[in-house]
Amino acid sequence: MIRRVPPPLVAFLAILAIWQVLSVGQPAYLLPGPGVVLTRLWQLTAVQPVLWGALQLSLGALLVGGSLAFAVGVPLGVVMGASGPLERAVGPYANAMYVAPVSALTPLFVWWFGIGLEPRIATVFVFSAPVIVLTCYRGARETPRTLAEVARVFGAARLQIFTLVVLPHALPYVVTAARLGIGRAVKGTVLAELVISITGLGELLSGFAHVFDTASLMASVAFLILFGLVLQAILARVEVAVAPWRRQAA
Amino acid sequence: MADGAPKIVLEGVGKTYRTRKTRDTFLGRLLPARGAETVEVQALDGLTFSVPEGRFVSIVGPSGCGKTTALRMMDGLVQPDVGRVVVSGMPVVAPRRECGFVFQDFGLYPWRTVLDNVAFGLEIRGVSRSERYALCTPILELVGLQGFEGLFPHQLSGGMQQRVGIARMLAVEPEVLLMDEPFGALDALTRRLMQFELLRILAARGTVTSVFVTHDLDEAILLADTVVVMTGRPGRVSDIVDVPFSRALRNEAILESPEFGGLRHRLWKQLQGTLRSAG
Amino acid sequence: MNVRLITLAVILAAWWMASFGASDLGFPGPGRVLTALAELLTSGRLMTALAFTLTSFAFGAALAVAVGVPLGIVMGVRPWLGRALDPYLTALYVMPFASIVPLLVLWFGIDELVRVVFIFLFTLPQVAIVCYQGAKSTPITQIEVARTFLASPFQTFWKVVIPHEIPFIFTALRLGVGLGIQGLVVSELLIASVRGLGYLIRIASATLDLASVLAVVLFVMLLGVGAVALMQRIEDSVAPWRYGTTIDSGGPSG
Repeated sequence: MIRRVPPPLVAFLAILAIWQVLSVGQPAYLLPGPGVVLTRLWQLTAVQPVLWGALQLSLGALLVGGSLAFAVGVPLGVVMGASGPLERAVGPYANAMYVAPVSALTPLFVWWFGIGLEPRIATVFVFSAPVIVLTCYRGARETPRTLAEVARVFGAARLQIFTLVVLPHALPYVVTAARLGIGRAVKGTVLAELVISITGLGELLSGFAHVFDTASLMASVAFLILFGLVLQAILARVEVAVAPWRRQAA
Repeated sequence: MADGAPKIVLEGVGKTYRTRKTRDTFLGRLLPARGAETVEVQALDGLTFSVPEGRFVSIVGPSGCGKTTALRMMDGLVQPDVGRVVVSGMPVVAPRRECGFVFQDFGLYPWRTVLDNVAFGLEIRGVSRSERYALCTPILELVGLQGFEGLFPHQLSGGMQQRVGIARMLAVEPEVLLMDEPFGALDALTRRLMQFELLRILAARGTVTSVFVTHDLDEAILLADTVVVMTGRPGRVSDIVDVPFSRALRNEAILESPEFGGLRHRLWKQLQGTLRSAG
Repeated sequence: MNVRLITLAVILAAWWMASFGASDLGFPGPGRVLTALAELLTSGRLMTALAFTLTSFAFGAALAVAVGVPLGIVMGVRPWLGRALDPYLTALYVMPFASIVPLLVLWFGIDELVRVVFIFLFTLPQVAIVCYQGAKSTPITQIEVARTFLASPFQTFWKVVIPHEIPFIFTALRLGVGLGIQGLVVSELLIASVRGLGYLIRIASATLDLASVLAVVLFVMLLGVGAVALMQRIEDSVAPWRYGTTIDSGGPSG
């Protein structure tokens, strides 16, 4: 009978059960039970749009930083993939940025750009750009040679090969890049805000932590996870819809 | 035709595959829950024939006619929905010790050397290492791979890889050889070479009941004592033809002979007919 | 190779020029950063901090591997479990880690333990997902070959699934290392730690020693790139038959 129920649901119920058991007897500030947290989540989203409000404040930096990273990263990545010398030149640095502890740079951004939206935008940009660049690079790079040769045989110039073969092939990867980039952008936003603690989600979370409002803290984390998951799921679906000839999402 | 009791019997075998297909439009892929439909494909319908002991039977038919499904049923990799498959007098429910199988895409283990790949079946049976290697060495010689024991599959050509597959099957001394388009992944020249190789190997080995699935008509006639022609989907027996040449005569010359050409023509006409009716 | 050096030269030159325009507080040029780096190295502070940071990292990462690899493999071999847990691993993967730091500090304090836990949670999903996908992708033919030889499920597991899985395990290690180093510095920054690389960055920030901040950041980047490159080398040598790792491998290899 267990077989009929979707497996993730079973796992969810199991997690809830374990959580409930662990929380019995624990003080509320340490480990509130699932009921409390879920109620709080409801309060913070539906009753009073506290979390939505915070998200909105953060959204600005998220969108601008993310879009910037996308606008810069996609062309850079695709061109890198299509041009050998450029890849050899810039590749290692993109790789290095991927492992860079961006959060350390956030205070620097505050000094250079002042307090406000800019340092957060910069953090989100630096956090999400490498993934976008690297994914688009792979998309352009992995264009099967045969496809390019077919174009050459029909007399296409290099630019035509780029626009007619490489770009369409890279398109699904661009969608993947968007999906991965958004994930990183959300992380980057929260990171920036926790480091700076100015407004939005960061301020909210720090506030909850200061007064030991663990239930709200956990509810907020749950909210962020759900938010990220939903975004991911939508984009993954778009990815499959855009390019049916690619069976897997990178 | 029957010079021995039937080793393998298929009676009224039917098999239907069910798959869920989403509509192949942008919206259909975006929201797969709506408009997904279950498609039924009937691979086999009332397939009946038998393989006498010690005979080499090739099964030939158009793509998708279910010949691979039928072969896999003989070793219990697939179960029929209707009818039954009997080997050595007992219905087949799972892979059998006495059956050896060669796959079209070789199925070699990339992390094992040639020798370890060939010894795989023996290893599963718990044969000691020294004994395994002792048993496999003559087999490697038989298939022409002596000297290549220490190489890995990715270092071998396609033809050599399939020899490893054949050697692996022979190493456990099966009573029945089942081969699923073993040369299908090879180029035409290599394929022809491997066909004669197989004839040589089988001649050295002695008569073993064999079933060989192929879509190549020449290959089917050249290798077999009997050719089973299948119709297109859903697969049924279209014709069963004995090959009149003795095994000693199977060589390059026979391919040019008028008898071979006549047989080829007859079977080709048969296949064309089934192709047209299948649509 | 030349192009890379040229780019490096260009970057350094641009950096140097940019540092001229800014005020004294502003933008330290390459010269000042390299001096700061040298000073940190010779005074031993960088190495002490590194040792401290790496210890936490080693524990957390080792734990993540010890749990994640078997978990991923079991998920791959038992599809029901795989489908059940996959969304939760993904959830852990997309979670903005900064947001759970307050929670972790509440539960585990601010010592070694919380950083180990942080690294563990940070690295686990990636490791488990890669191993899961690896186990799932065992070619059907290879499994069927074992079936035709009447291998028991145990034999099939050890002789087919595990060898197929090994390159994926190395990929998971490589990704884990790359992620872990990042996560570690992040955790030290956000958790008020009093030793380690994150601490170095924090006091440098506090004293407005931007050159040192950049120096440590640079150091960590080099460390990360080096570690990942090393793991890539190991990975390639383990599987000469070139298993394609289509999982996000983090981009071109150097």
